[in-house]
Amino acid sequence: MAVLAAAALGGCTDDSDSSGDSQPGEGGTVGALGLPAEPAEQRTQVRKVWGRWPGDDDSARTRSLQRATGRVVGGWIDRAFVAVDYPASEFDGAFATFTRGAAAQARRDSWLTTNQTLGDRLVDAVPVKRTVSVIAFAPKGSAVGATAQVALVLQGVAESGQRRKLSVTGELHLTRVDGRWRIFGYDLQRSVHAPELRGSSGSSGGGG
Amino acid sequence: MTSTRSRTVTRIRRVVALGAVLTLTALLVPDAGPSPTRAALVRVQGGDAVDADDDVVWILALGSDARRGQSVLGSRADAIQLVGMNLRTGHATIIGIPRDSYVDIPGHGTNKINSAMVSGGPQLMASAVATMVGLTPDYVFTTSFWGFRFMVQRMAPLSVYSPFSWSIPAATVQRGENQLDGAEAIAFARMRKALPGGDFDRSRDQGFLLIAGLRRVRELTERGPGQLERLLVSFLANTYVDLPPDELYRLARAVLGIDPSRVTSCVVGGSTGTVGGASVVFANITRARSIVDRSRDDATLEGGC
Repeated sequence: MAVLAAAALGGCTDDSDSSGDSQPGEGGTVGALGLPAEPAEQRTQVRKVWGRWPGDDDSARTRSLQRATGRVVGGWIDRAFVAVDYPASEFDGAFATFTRGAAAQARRDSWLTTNQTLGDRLVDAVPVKRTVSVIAFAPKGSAVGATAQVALVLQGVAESGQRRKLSVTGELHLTRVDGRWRIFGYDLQRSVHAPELRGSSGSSGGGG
Repeated sequence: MTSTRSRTVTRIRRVVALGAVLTLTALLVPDAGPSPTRAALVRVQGGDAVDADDDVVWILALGSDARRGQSVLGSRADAIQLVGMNLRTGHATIIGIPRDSYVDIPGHGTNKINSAMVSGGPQLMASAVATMVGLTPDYVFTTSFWGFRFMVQRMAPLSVYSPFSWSIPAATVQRGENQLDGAEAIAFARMRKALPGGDFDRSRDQGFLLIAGLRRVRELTERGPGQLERLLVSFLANTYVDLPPDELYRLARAVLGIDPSRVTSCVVGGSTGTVGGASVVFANITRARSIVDRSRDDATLEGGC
């Protein structure tokens, strides 16, 4: 059983922002619209592999697993939240790295699995936290399943200048389908923080 | 301007792949090499492999009367529960089949359904159930009673509801919720004489045990990340499994998506009698097929059993 230390992917991150509550510009450059000039890059780590895993935390096998799982999760994050031409109400291709059944379910949950509820009101959005922590299952020396813990914090700004902070956290469940990693399930939590709004909105997933 | 923070928080769980009873076992089986003498999980020939596109997966969960050293795949199945799981909604239906049900066993005439395991292993057992209720399970999971006792002991206590009070040297059970250890759980699963409905009540209680086990497994796996992966390593070390490991992973992940509050448990009714001097159950086949037909596509039973 291999216990793996963190292996970071990507350089500049807001890793110190464990709460995800940092404000744009804190400790970094503020760009147009008051959003951070530099988006947080995705930081992927393989925390642990249960089973027979001959590699250590720095082995080629572990790095390969890290890249493959990070790419699958990152593909979803990009198309659903980050690499989006805001304002946006369509998020085509957001589930390209999902299994067919999971993609169908994710489309039904698009208020959660994409930035659909805020997207048409934003003019721009920048990730300030983007981490992926992977625990894999490799019973015969090859990883066949994994849990990816995800933490995404997205700073967005509306045309009025009002800012929104969207957090999406939870788990993605990964498996290999025809040799490729795919997301086949999820257990996610979404919260929207609107510090400049009057009153409060309590609708679930409404985004204030 | 008044500065007011607003925060909305929502959470949703979706698991689009499945398997129920096995995670329960993963927790509990004592450490040892894989052997069909403790527990076994096999895919039924002609059944569908768990797949992300499936909405419902059916597992035939069996309690074998195999003694230590005997294969659970060749011994009588004395607890028979057909479990349907909806991977999309988290609903599940558990259908208890009395072990003494006198039914057609394909290629082997008419006999008690629990003899099918002896005559033809899990494939024939699945065929016998299919002939009886009109649905072929996708998987058969079998555990010995002693293996089950150790499993429960590993995750005890198990909070199990009982409609009746009774007491024997091995266990004292109160009406209502009970906290059972491994030995008590096995006594609960086997108790028949103290129950007014005999075989039928015992089958109902076995369904309650499955629900309790699912609830407990979810509690344990929610303690932190990686718990499922850890349990599966133990499962594979202790269980004979003929599935590819990725299929096992999806199956196990799916079970954790089942919401215990969305599980309906039913028992196939009938009457008792004797055939050739042996006690048998003449199951109400029409009712059994009705239950299965209502839950076949979504693992739910609107309005209950």
